[in-house]
Amino acid sequence: MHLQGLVQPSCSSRPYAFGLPQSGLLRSAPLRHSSCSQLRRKPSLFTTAHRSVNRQSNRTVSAAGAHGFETGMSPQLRSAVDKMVQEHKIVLFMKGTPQFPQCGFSNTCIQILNTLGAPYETVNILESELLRQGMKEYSQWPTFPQVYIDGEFYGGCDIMIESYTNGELQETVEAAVNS
Amino acid sequence: MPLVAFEPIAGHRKFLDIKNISAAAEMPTAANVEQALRTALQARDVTVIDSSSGCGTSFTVAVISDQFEGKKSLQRHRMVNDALKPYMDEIHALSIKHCWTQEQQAAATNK
Repeated sequence: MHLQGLVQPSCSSRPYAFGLPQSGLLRSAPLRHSSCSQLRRKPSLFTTAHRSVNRQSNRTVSAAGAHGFETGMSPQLRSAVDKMVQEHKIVLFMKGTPQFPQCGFSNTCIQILNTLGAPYETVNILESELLRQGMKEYSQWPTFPQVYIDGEFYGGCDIMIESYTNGELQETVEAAVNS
Repeated sequence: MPLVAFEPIAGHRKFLDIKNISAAAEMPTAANVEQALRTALQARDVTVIDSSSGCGTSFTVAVISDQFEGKKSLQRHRMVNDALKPYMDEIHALSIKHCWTQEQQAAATNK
């Protein structure tokens, strides 16, 4: 499964991509299969996840990628997501980017977060099927967008709207940002 | 083998037969979703709208149930998600408008 084609071209407004440098490293370096130890590259979410898919003799993981159902997140992916939600106060796992949301619910969350004015990170789950299925398992939540505040899963679009309307969201965000 | 073009009715009927068999097995209808929510949450009132115009891929739901008592918003949403777990493979989007207790429903309508 080639991830090259899934990575968006780099641009300054590109959302955070799990530690990938903005130079579009994945596009310039050829993706090799796992056994080539000479290929030294800064570890990133996509390459390590990809490598683990191929390295494991567990055929069901690659088969899962082909058929589109998830049979478990790789430990690298899980720890990358852990790191992401702990390092940043507000993380939005969405379809598309803040500039070009690909889904009405994701767009709504972006609008709400922009109105609040607090800094947030976004992850485009459309970039990788592994990530998309992995996040469903990680959050135990079947749909996107998914909002994480202060390292904890906050909810989806409905919860964002509800808590924005009754003021809870502003409180939670303030508490998170100030902590 | 006769061309479908020469037997449009027979071909269409055959297509419909196949489609109906698979549709019944997989595609959730608003009735299915409502039934699942009623039984799993012992709901007093359930409103389900198929927002995908009959495709069974996107639903908007509102549930009134006593089981929501004392539970936070996220917990309630998770309960609704769990109730619909068997259908989540086919449902692409789920919008939970309300998951309220009886009292909240009364408060909302009286406002």
